[in-house]
Amino acid sequence: MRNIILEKFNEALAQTNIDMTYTSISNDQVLLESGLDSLGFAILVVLLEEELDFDPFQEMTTAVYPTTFGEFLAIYEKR
Amino acid sequence: MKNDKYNCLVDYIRHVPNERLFLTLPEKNYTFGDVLELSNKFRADYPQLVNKSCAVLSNERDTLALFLPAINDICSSLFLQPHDIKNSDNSFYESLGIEFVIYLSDRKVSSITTIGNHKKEKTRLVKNFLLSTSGTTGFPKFVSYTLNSLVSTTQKDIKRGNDFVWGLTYDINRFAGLQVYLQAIVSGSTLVIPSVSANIDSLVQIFAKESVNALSATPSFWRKVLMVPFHKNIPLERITLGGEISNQTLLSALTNSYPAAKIAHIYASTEAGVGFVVKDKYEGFPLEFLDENSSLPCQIKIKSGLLWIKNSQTASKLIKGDIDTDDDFFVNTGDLVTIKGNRVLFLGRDNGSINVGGNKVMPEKVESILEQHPFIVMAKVYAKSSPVLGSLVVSEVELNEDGQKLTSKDLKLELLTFCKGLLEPFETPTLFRSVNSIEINATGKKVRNNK
Repeated sequence: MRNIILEKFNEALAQTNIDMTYTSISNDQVLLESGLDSLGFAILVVLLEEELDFDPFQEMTTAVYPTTFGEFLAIYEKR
Repeated sequence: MKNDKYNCLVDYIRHVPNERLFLTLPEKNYTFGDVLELSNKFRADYPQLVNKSCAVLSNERDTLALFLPAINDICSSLFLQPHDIKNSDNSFYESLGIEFVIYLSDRKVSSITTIGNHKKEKTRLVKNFLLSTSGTTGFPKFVSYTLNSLVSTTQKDIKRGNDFVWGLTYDINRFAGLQVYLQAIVSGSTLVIPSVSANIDSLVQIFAKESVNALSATPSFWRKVLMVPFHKNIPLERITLGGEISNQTLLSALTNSYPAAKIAHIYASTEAGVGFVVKDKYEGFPLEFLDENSSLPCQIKIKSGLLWIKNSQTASKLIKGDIDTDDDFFVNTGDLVTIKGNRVLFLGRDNGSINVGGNKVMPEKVESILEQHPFIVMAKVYAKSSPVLGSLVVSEVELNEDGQKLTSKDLKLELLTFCKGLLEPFETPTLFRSVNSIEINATGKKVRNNK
């Protein structure tokens, strides 16, 4: 899962014209400081849905806002 | 030629030489004289319909084409009911003042239904046509037109009309199709009507075989025509586009395929009646059209980014539905426009925009950019709900052979690179789904409300 998210993370960065690629992301990387803006983040969720066939954020009953990469990963892994 | 005294279609038909070919239908042809004869028979067979208000229903374009002059000849008001109008019970018809419903099929009258209490009405001197808007953007609207208002900008030279063979790509019970049909009648031209079920390849084949040289269709339809390998076999002299935005890519592609043809894109809204025509093969329309003294059959103005239009002949009136009109009797078309240099360009429908994190995205604009890419035949852009931003832009693309050779990953990379600089990141589709064919609805436009 980590690798899939990493790949899509880089794709989302490219789609928002951010000239940056990660070879790995640590769990405590703060999302807001990762280079992805809100559009990039929305794109990442859609790209993952296309790859995995589910969007955990759509399925949530209460909104969870992950702040770190680790929290984001956990939402996908725990689904 | 002024023909204001012509009150019905039969008046026009009488002035065309009887033996001239009018309708080329699957398996049978009809001359103008044949249709006149059929109209006389109809008058004798159905005296109860004289001066009545009638709705006409038929799934077949050819049958409708045969009977329209006959029904128009004796009925005072004719509602061309599209088959997708639901809830057509008695109260629906009563609300429109309809007294009889005529069902046609197999080139015959199949039945006639009487609707409730008949009003004692004075005989109307001017007959009218009742049409409904496509209703793709909501509840259909019903607008009434006189024949004169419908043919006010139509070429009426019967001598010249003999040189034209029109092809029908629309339903006759819609505004665009009725315009083509009326064009053929008032100028005495031949109209080729293929069966509704014919696919694009066989349509092109039929139009080529019947030497169709004038064709009016939506931009979506034209894109499909251009994909048919032998499309240049249609000896086109007149190309008309309407119903959707005609972008430069398409106008240029048509110019390349049919260099000798006159190409016109029409702007018309059912609400306002006849609109205007642009013939210079460039997208949008010249800025001088906005001049009050322009030679257009209508007046137009731009108010807060929207196009407003007023039919100078204002012979149409709204029967039912909601039309936004201002104090000067201009009608809000709901079409967003922008001025670029000396052109006014169409951006899309006011209510069709996608809101991406507070940014307004016009699907038509993004589609127009994507359709400039050499691999893309047609693109459809729509919103995908996003828990993060409200909506995101995604797309379906119909690819040509070159495009189909790419893996989805390479295709996406190619298209993203292409869009860079042409579109803002929030306008750029997040996904490019390759589809075999982009669906077109009964009015020839891209289906927009299925997602």
